[in-house]
Amino acid sequence: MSIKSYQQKLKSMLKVALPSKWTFIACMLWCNLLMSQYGLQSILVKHPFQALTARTGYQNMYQDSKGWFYIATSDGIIQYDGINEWFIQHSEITAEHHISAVAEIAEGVLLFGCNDGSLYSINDRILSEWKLKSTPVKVAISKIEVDSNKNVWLATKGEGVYVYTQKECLHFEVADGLKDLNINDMIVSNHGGVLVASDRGLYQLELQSNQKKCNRVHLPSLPEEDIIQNILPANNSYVLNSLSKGPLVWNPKDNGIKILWPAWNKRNILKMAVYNKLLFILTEHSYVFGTVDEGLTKCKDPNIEFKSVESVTIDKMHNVWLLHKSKGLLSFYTPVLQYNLENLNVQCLYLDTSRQILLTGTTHGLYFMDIHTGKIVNTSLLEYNLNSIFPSTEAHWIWLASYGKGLIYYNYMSGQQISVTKNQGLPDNNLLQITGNDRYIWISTLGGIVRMQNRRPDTKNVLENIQVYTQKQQLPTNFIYQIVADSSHNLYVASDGYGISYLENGESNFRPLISELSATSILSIEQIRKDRMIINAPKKGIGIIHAGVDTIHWLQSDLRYGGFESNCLLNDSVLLAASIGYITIINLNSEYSLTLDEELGLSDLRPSVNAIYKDPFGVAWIACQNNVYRVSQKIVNTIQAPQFSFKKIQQFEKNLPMIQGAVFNSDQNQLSFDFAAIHYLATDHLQYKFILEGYEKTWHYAKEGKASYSNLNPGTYTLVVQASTDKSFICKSQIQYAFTIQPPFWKRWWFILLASSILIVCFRYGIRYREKQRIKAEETKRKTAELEFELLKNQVNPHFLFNSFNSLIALIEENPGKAIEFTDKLSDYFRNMMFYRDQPLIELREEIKLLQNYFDLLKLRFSENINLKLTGEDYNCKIAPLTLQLLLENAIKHNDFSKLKPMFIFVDINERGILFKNTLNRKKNMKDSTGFGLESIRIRYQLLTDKSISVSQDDHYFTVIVPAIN
Amino acid sequence: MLELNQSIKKILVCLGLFQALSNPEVCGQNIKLRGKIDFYSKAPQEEIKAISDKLNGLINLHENSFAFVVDINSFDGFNNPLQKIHFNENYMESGLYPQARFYGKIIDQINYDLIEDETIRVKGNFDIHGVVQERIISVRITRKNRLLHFESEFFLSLEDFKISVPRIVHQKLSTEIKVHVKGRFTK
Repeated sequence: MSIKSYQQKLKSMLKVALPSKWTFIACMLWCNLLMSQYGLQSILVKHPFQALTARTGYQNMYQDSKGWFYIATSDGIIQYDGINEWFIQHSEITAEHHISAVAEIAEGVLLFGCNDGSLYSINDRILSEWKLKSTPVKVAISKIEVDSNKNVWLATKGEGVYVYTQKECLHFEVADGLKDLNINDMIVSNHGGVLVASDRGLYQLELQSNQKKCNRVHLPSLPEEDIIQNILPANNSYVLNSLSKGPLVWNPKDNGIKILWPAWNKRNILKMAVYNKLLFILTEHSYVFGTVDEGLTKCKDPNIEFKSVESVTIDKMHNVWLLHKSKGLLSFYTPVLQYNLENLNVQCLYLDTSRQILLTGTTHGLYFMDIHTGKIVNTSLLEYNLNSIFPSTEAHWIWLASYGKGLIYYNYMSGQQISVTKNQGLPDNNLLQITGNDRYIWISTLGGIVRMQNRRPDTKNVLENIQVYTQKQQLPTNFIYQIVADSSHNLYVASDGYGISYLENGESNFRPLISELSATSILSIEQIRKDRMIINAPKKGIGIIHAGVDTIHWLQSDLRYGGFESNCLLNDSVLLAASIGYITIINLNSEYSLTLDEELGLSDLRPSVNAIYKDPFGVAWIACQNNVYRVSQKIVNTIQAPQFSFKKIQQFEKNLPMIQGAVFNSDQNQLSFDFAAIHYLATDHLQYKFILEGYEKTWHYAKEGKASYSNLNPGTYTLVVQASTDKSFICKSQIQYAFTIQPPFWKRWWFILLASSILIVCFRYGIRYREKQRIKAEETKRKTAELEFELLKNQVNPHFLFNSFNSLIALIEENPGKAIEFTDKLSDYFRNMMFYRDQPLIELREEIKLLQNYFDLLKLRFSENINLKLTGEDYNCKIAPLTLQLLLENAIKHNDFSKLKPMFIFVDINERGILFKNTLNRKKNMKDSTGFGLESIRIRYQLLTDKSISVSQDDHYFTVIVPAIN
Repeated sequence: MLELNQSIKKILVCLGLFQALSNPEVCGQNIKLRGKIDFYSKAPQEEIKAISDKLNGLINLHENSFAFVVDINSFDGFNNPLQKIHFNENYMESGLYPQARFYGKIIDQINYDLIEDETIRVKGNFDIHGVVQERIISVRITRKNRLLHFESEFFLSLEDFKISVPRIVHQKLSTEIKVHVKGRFTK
């Protein structure tokens, strides 16, 4: 990507990100600095909780002693450090109650008062109800205060003031002298006790040995029963908001009153905040900054709705914070502040230990600058051209490098000074820069580099332990821009035209560090994390050298006027570089950079070479030709990747555990993921992209922190989400969430194994059973065939035929008519045989007919020798064909019969079956009987039905009972 | 004094003015107020306006306090009859909270004899929909034909009074309602 397109992108980003919504507002944050004087621009920064909470009900805010903000929203209470870190205590309490007052009653213990009188406390991030010793308050709590004796005071809207001591609860009411119980505000006073602002004036409440004491405070030049809306502390006096005179300062010592805002004009003051002497007032459509000493002078009407601001506070850094009902937390943020130092060419800076005074080394001597007021005070060092300041190990003593007058050891409190010049062993009186540590200082001069001990120099004699490095030690040049000593006392030198040289501790000669740089100028060199060096070269910009590598990685950054004059590491990964008219902030890890220029009022920036000073707060101070710029430490956050986390994971509105590697059931496959990122400046412009690894191959881009997936197949997935402040995702942060969806139980290995083994067993048994069935069926078939054959054989018994034909021949002669009848019957018999033989069952009456027919044939032969008697009536059943005929044949076959001993056959039909009975007269010469006839009937009945035939015989009768089949 | 609205009596009790009512001498220091109140909501899809002329009020000169009351049911002039039903049943829940009240203290003295118009401020509590909210309101006092008239305009947020609006109605109902009050002093 080219530098130009980068520039354009950043410019467009700034334009989008800042004006309309962010409302560029010129304002003044530091007590006496008037913005007209400095022409600064502040940004109203929106803090990022809309992304984190679902609803917009921001209720109240409180900053505790450690600087944490507690923000009550209808979703719960958010703890926020003001920049990046946050913690949410989700709770139903804030959805049901409106938090109207907050106070820190002990370290880390916050007390929340609601507008229905209930009280809750947060202790160690646990929200719980605050148990009171007596009946709870029933109206809104307007203020909570804790005095030096740890008594907790509650001001209420309509019930006066309650005070909770260690032992008891006392109530201040009308009887105690409190004329109006509607308390608007309350504050712990300097004398112990509290000052109470009510609808009828100001009262002083005290506890004297647990006795209530209430005094009315008479305020001069105010109506007797004036409504006091607010009371705020301001050093030894108080800022009051009177509804008749507007904001005023009341000094309790002389009971003096000073009107703060002459142009107040009965404006409705919504909120007020005071810190030290800085005063901030919100009215319905404007806000006002001012000081307690000098009053309110500036009033701007920005295009923002201040009516819905619920709370205002000023922190220790003098930043003003607003809590807007729907927009959340807002703060005034001044990225770059300018101090005007006309005609002083500032070359070096140092913040003194009181954190109030900036020591300013200029070409015309040393000056003090009050960082709050910007006021300049000169010191005793005025004839010196100062190039560098370095702290000594003694308090209030500093080393100063002067050009022309040597080294000065100076006490900026007392004005004492000790000079070290050529006479004491310095190679030259023209000093360029001082660096070092607690033990040694290194000074670059035009005559070479000097190392000496970091302690008070003895000026009478030539200094001891002084080490001079000149060209004898292979130092390539005396024109040195910067020297750096690392923790192991190795010395690195950035020089004009000769690149970087270094001197290893203990060695005597300098060596060039990177051969490729040997003929270039290097302005500055800085070490980070022991393995990397950051260098700044004209025309090339910022480069990174990794330890042990002989090449330089040049960063792509905005180079407008041949590079940067000065640069400074803000932290391990963020670098600030200043050039004419602009500053660039570079994230060294992502190489994402942001340029701030005339849009932030930086067109006059003319930085001195290597003259950015980073103070212990992380604030960077840029020394310039006519001014000093203060770069807020928060600027680091503009270049950092958004802070990012998952909010919840849901299946159909039901929360799922947010554990990495969670295992979900097969039916939990409709997942939606909520995530949120916050960024100090650009929360509204965050972009997200996400991919579900294992499911898809392309990224999804979104502006809302939500990803939904449905019908996910079982498997292992990882949701990777990135958030960035820019569309190109250079400055990004990433989170991921791995989870597994289990296959349904019927797809798991143990079930498959079990099911397949059961299946195999079943199959095996099935086959076996089938085989058995087949064999049985075949046997039956064979048997049936045999039977049929036997039957046929029987029926076409040649004996029967022979007999029949003989009978027929006899009949033809005797009685031709009867012969015809006989032949008819014979043919009938055979036809029926053929017809019925194949049928499994026939009607009983058919069978009886067959039997009768057959009997008639036999009767022709045996005449009276055989007799048949049919009894019974129920013919409405079925029977295997030819059964009765077979029995009849058997009877004829096995028995002798004659005229003397005729055979009687009885056939009786009853409910049990068909009874066939014949008289028994066995043939004597009957050798062997195959028994086939009876056997065949039995088998046939076995195949047809579960009933079997019964055969019995006694001395006279042979009986067969054939079951009837219905 | 018997013709005083029952509801005003209630508020007077809660304001501690009950004594004032029972004492005829102090009673003479009361001023009755009568007037009209209308509200206006401008949303992208619909503009709603309704008016009630049943606004009653009272100023206690002794205490320098005041009270106003209006029946929610008395508002009329909606875009359609159903809207009035919705207003009463769904939003204002006038069955539960039949009245809207505003009571408190007069900050700037009213000059009853002066002829010039003036703007005064009052600090009071709105009691609407069961929620009490403290506000400071500016009121314009004018004089026509020897009679004092008052007029005021202010915004009330639905969210402040826990009047929840369904999402689909967002396009039809503003979250900030403009309220306009106009009336006269009677003695």
